[in-house]
Amino acid sequence: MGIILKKKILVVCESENNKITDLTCQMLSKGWELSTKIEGELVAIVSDSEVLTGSSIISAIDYVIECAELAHMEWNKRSDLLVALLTEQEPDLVLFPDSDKWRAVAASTGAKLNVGIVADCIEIKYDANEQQFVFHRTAYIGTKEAVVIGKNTRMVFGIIKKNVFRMMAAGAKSLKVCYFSYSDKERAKSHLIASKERRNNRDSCLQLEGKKVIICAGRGVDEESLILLKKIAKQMGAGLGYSRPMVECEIGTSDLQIGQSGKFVQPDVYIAFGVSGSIHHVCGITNSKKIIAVNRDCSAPIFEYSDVGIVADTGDVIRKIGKKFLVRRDDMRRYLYYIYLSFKSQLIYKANILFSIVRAFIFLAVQIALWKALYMGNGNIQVYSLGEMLTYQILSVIIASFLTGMQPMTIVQDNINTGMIVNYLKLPCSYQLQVLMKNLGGNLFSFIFVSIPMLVLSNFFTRIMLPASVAGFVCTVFALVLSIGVYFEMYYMFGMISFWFMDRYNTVGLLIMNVIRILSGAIIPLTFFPGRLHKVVMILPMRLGFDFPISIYLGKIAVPEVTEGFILQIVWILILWIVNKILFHFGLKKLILQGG
Amino acid sequence: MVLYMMSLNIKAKLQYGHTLLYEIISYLIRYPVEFIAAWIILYNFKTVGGWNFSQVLFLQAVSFVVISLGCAFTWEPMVCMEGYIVEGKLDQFLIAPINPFWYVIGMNFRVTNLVITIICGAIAAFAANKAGVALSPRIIFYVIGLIGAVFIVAAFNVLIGTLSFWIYQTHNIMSFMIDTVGELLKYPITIYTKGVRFLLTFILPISLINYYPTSYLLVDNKMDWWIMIVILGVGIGLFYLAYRLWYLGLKQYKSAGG
Repeated sequence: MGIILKKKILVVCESENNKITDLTCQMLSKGWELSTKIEGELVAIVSDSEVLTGSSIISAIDYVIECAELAHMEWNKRSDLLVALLTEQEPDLVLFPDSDKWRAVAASTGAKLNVGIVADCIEIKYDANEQQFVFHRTAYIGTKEAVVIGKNTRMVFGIIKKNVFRMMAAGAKSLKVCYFSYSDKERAKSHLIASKERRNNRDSCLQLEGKKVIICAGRGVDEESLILLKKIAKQMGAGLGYSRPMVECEIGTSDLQIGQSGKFVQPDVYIAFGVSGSIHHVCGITNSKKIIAVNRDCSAPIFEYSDVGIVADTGDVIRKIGKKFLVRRDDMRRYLYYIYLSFKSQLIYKANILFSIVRAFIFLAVQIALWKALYMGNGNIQVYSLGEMLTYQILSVIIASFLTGMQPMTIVQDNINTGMIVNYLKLPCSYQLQVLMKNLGGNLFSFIFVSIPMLVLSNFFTRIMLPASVAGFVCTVFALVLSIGVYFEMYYMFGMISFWFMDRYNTVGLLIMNVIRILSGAIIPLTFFPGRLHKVVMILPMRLGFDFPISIYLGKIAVPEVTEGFILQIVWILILWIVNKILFHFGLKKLILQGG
Repeated sequence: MVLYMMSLNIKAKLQYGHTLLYEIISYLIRYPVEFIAAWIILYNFKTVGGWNFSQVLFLQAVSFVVISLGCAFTWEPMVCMEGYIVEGKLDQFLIAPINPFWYVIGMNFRVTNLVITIICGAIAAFAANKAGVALSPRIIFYVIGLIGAVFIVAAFNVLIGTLSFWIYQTHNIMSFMIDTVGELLKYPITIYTKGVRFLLTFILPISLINYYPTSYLLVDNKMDWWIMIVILGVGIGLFYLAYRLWYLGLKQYKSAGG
């Protein structure tokens, strides 16, 4: 550059929200440091001097050039403005902020004035002996530090990256403001032919800045996997970058491009999917602590730089990660999905709904005829009036419709006998929970499509009695909800018998179904049971599903008994749950699988 | 010929002792529950529709005997028919030089039902003893009535099984039918209203299966013997009708095989 003559350093300031940016502050700090060394002036160029107020660097600035046009001027014309300004000012050094737009402006201004530019400066020193500025910049992927000086140039431009220089405080002072006005209409030499708006990433979660984990999608990632990859990245709290080809074909946005022409990143973990790893990409990631690469091509250069390399189809790997990773967090949604699936699968068998309703209807018709006949023969039954008894029978049929579908048992039996259970064990939620969700779907389905129609159809025989009280009704519903738990655990337990006993004819199932029908009080209220049998059924958990809730409904039992029943239900659920855990543990050891 | 095939079937089944035992147990356990339910009800109420416990027990045991006997011959064949038709296996019965209907029935005779019949028969005998049945010519007519009842059950199975020539999933309808029949037969039809009684006697003659014969033997001394003959007639008539319909279905059956 030769000898410093003008002793003037100019800083192009950028502002944000009416304040100068940190980068500008850093540039001014550096400019101040250098201007003291050359005993020269520090000049700031701003669009509005207001933005400088309040910043701690103000007193270092000798004067400010306010150029109002900068605020709204098109970027492609700014170089003309700067050419005019710089020819007037003639500084030795101009510092530009490192942004895409300013970089372009600096380049074209530099070309017009025929001056040197140093980009990516990491240090600027003043060499007092030679009386020139010495620039340091990174080169070769940050492995080398280049020292640059300007030769045969009137001034030199430096483009400063963010966070390279420290911010310094100089104190407050009133500003000396000069104005520079420029009319582009008269002097503009360049014209805008076409402008192409750069697409920026709109998903703030996937930003690269400040991420400990960064995932990069290369050309090997297809569209479908990319959607999944985005979800994975979001869930991990990772940034998602793209390789250059992905940005060029407009899949990724350029602000997320990683590599020499994009961003340099240094996360703790960098995961490259389908990135071949050309030197231009790798130079942007070498400072990452760990690099994991997934690529189908085992000779891809990325593997030379990666700490962990996976040679596999990128889509496969992403899908597998997605399966493991994504589901874990939407557990709740997945459980609901199970319920929904089981509900939907039953909907296919429309004829079965009809059969269930007709079957329940005929059963109810027989029961009602039977009890009417019984009461007609003996009018002196004190415990239940005829109306109460008929209500009992209707409620029993309604409850049986959704409670005793035996679904958990059938599912477990089927899964064990066919060996399908292995597939379910692989899933990240417990098997029991999976069966429960399917069962709930079935319960819900039967309730809607069988129980409710039965309630309506029961009017055909007799009018159902209203609950004894509102509180009673609430308690009945509560008891029924708990009884779903009790019956589920029971059926689930019986289903596990298949671990030890291949039950082709469903002997156990039929036995249990029939025994439960009688012991639960579904056919006959338990108060009618003779002495010893009554004692037995009161101990067993089956009654909690039928006799207990219906008794609450009819107001036959007092508050202490109701409370006791609730506690019993919960206790039974817990006991059976623990028993089931143990049985399952031992059962799995007995599991013999057919097939390879 | 049919009897020969049945005996073959029995021998084949007996070779798998364990399986047969499980199967028998699985069918047997349905019944005690019904007996216990009837016992509890009558423990409290003494009579239902004018019948006491031993009479109801007899009624139920006999209905199980009749149903299992009727199903022994026709249940399995008619359930299998569906599979035969879908898979085109029915051809194997058509090319044999014997009556295909009896061939299908003979091939699928269900042995287990015989065991159930014997056990429920024993229970019925026990109940009859308690109900005080005296040896008399009535028993002969009663047995004739029961044979008619077995034919009625068999006819129902064949009638519904024949549907599988036209529609799928007939086994669902069959188990639904047999469950319904079992349900309606649990107690004497005197518990129903007049309309239902008429329906069960003349339109859907389910009550002929167990109510009328049992009533003839145990309860109603005024009932005439010819009613039993009528039941036999109805049974054979229905069965013949079902048999003809089965052939009608067969006529329009086209093999699926190439």
